[in-house]
Formats: sequence, structure tokens, C-alpha cells
Amino acid sequence: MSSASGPAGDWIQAWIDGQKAALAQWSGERQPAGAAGRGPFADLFGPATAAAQAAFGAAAASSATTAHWPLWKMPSAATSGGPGTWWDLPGIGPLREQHAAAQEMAAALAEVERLTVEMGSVMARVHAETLDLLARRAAEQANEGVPLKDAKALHDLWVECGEATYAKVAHSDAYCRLQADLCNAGIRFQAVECQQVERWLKLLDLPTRSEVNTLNLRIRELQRQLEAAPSPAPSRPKDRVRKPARKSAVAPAAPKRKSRPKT
Amino acid sequence: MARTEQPQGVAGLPGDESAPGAAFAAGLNALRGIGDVDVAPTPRDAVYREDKLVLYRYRPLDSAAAGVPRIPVLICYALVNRPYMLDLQEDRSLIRGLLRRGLDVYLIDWGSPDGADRYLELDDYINRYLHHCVSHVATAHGVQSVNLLGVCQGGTFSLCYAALHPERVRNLVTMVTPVDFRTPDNLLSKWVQGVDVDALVRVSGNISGELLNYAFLSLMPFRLMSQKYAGVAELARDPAQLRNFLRMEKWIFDSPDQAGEAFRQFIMWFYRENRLVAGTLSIGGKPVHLRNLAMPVLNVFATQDHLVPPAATTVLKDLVGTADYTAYAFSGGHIGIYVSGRAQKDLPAAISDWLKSRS
Repeated sequence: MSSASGPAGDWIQAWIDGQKAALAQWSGERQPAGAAGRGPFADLFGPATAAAQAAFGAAAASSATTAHWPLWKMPSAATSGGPGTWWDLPGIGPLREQHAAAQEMAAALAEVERLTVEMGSVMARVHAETLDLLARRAAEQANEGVPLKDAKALHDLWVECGEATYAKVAHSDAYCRLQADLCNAGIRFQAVECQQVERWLKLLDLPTRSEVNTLNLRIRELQRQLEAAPSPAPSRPKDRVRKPARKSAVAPAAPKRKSRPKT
Repeated sequence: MARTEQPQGVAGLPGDESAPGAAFAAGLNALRGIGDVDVAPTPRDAVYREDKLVLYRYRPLDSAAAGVPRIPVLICYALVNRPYMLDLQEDRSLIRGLLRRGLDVYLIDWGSPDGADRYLELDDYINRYLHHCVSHVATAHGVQSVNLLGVCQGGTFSLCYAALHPERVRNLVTMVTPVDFRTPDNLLSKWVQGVDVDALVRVSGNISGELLNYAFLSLMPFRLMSQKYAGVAELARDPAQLRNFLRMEKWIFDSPDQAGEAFRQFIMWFYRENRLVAGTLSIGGKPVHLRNLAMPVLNVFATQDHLVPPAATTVLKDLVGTADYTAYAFSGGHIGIYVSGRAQKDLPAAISDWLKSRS
């Protein structure tokens, strides 16, 4: 049986084969973190699947904060001409601190990229296994005399197979660990990034988040002290200031200021 | 094997590449014609404010009922997502259902935290905000204790509040409320176990609603990010259905940020350490023991809930101190329990009947 005439039916098998080819191509061409790679499902079901495709790969979750990553991308020894560059040296001289910070940031970013690629591989495997399962399920239905009738039926079965495949992976310890590692790597990168931005803000004498946080905490502490403070005891009658009876709803005139002694 | 004919509308296959695109385009065109949608249609009045919190009291649907004493119920919604899910539209509204059955409905809207709120703690939400809302309702009705209805995370808050202040809660209703956060089928719980939440909050401050949305969508990505939108084509000829779809979309993605410290505490204490079940939870320095729940408890859960699996909530029966515990299983999912047709028919009646028989 040719690939275009599989057990699931000609058009279904042809579609699945096409997706596998697209997946293989995507896996081979996949860009590291931050690149908006074109996934294997972008053209299958129109914009709906484009949204789904955008969500696969954990980098999507942090896309809002990673769009500017190229700014932080520093040349590695391998890409900048080898060991003769200054970049791999320990920081020395007046710019030691900046050099060390930039190295730290580049290392954090490299870790995010490595884990993003690893996550991409896992997702590619999910897609591949989804297609295998889809082929089996479509064939089973055809053999039972209830073949898939149209694109919607194919899509619905693809979704069902996808969720079943994904659930097995998503519940696994390995996936949970990978996802946590990727998340934690992103957090570490953001922490270093924040340090750098705050350093620049201080140079410009602009307020930083750390300073705002300090003030925020002080206000909260004061608020708590106020709430915890005992209510003032009711004053004794003789201490009370007798208020003049108001004759009307008109606001009383402001008290006269004592004239200041002339100097 | 029987050969199957080339079907209508399979993009990427020779012969017919236009049909699915055309159907989808028709759906998009229909959406363009809809424009924006309104939510939360039921008239209400803001009766209490504190910081960003607003407490609403709903007006009776029947003007003749105004002034007639009604049984008050205070709804405590989650911090995640907006509370108008309970009053999404006229025919999808738990709140209208409760009003129609003669209850006096109050709803807490927590507002949207910003950077100034990043150090708000669970203690603030439970012992300050929620406590003040309970006090307001109690004072307004001249009673010592109120009926409290907690939804999702708001149900967990309500459990904590009722355990800390049992004298202030006359009856407690929990809806799709997580209690045991470490059940084997809880995917969200598995995912957060290895995340450095302390560092996340330290670096991010408040946790963006957008990030949480991605996490929720990632639980069932094929269904929630593909199938749902492919289904728009089928709705193209029905403007009412399209409006329903848009309202749901608005609600799903209208997600407030989470106050950083409260989020950290919630993840660490509940998801990571499962303190509510372990009996080791303290809030505001006071221990939270579910056995303190001596008031009647109605626990409503959804049998196909992927966010709060049934096992995560039914455990409540063994933890509370009351003998008057009722479980209500709704056949549906975490969202369907708010908006499905059956939910509109069954849930308000179940809740109001249960409350009325105990008030």
C-alpha cells in the first residue's frame, strides 16, 4: 500500500504524510529561543491552528518578556572567532563588573535557549505521536465502516489524539521537571536582566523597582503598626473640648489667626 | 478497506483547498459584524469599597420584592479571572438564578492588583477584605453570621475564613473548590512542584494574568487553542451563539494580575505543601483547621473538572467538623458549571433550596 493509500483512506493518509514531512522539516529548521519558528501545523486548519501552534513550545508562555532577547545576545567563543576574543576572559579592569554581569546574562540566556530547544523536541515528539495515533484511529474507524467524512471530523480526531498523547507526556515526571527547569531558567535570566536595568536607572537617577518595593514595605509596616496600636482611650469629660453649637448648616468661619508679633 | 472519497474542505490536499478557509472566513466576517459584547447585565449597587475591592449588592429582579426581607448570601469569587462569570449574560447567570429564587445576593470583586499591591498576603484577603465584607453584610441585615458562597479559589478562601471565624458563617457553600491540591490527576499541581516560586515572585512582583492564562491553556492545548476556534466556523450563522462565544473569550482572557506575595503563599502553602489538608495551615498567625467548620456545608463540584478534579474537593467531607455536609455533583466541567444550560436550571435551585432549608 502506498503512503497515499493508507489504511485510513487516501486523503487522510496523504494529509498525515504531509504533516509528518512538515514536522520533520520544522524540527530540522527550528530556531532557538525567541525566534518565531513556523510550525508544522500553521497551514492545516487556518488561523485556528496557528493559535494552537503558537502555544506549543514553552517559550510561548514567556514570549512577552523574551522578545528583546537579541539585545542581550553576546558572541560566544564559537561564533566570534574562537579563544582569541575578550569575551570568555574573566572580567578585569575598570569594566570588570559590567563584563561579569554581561557574562552572567549571556550564560542565563544560553540555558534558557538550551531548555527551549529541548522542550521543542518534546513537543515535536508529541506531534509525531499524535499523527501516528491519528492514522491508527482513522484506520480503525474506516475498518469499522465509519470512515472520517470531512475535514472537521479529521480535525476533531486529531484534537482527541493530540490531547491523549499530550496528557501522557504532560503528566510525566520528566516533562514536569523540564518545564520547571525552563521556567526557573527564565526566572534566573529575568533576575539578571532586572539587575542590569536597575544599574542603568541608578546612573540616570531614575527610581527603580527595588526602591519602590522598599517604600511599599515601609508603608505596609506603618499600616500594621497603626492597626496594632491600641485605640486612644476615651478622653475624660473635663478634657473634652466643648464645641460651639452650630446655628446653621453654614460652615463656620475659619478661626482668626493670631497676629504675629512684629519684629 | 473501503476507499474514502476526497472530502469537502481539507486544506493542503489537492482538489479542494477553499472550503474550510471559506467557512472560517464566514465565521470571521460574522464576528466582525458582532462588534463588542456586554457582560454582567444584572443591576447592582456598590455598597462597600476598600482599596481595590468593591462589594456589590444585586437589586431584586422583581421590583415588587424590593424592601422585602430576603436571605442574604455573600459570594466570594477567585482572584484568578473576573467575577462576572457568575453573571455573564441574562440567560447564563448564576446570580440571576439566585435572585429569581428570592436570595439577596452580594458579590466581592477583588479588583485588579497593581505594583502597589504586590505585598498583599492571604491574611489581607481573608482576614481583612473578606472579613470586612462579611461584617458589612451582617451589619446590613442585623445578623451575626452570613451565608457564604465561595467559588473556585474563592471557595478555598471561604473555607479558611469559615475555619478562622466560624461564628461569622451561618452556612457555607463551596463551588468547584480545591481542598486537596496534590491529587494524582491534578496536572497544574504537578507542574508547579519544581518551579522556584519564591524567585518567580521576587523577580516578577505580581504574576501576570497573561502568564496564568498560558498555563491554563497548556493543560489542554489542542482543545483550548485549536478546536475551540475551529468551531467558530460552525457558529457563523448564529449571531447569538457568536456573542456567547465572544463573552466567554472576554472572560477567559480578562485576567487580573495576582498580587505577588499572596500568589507565592497560595502556591507554596496549598499547591506545594498541601497545608489545608495536612492541617498545618496558618493565616495571620492563626491555625486553620477544617474541623472548625461546624456550620452546614454544601460542596458543589463538577465531575469533568480538569482544573479542580473531583478528588481534589470531595475530600472535604472527611475534614469538616459538621455532620450536615452535602455534596452536589454536577455533570460537566469547570466552565460548564457556570454557563451551561443545565447549570442555569439546576444549580441556583439546588443552592437556594439548600440555603432556605437552613436559614
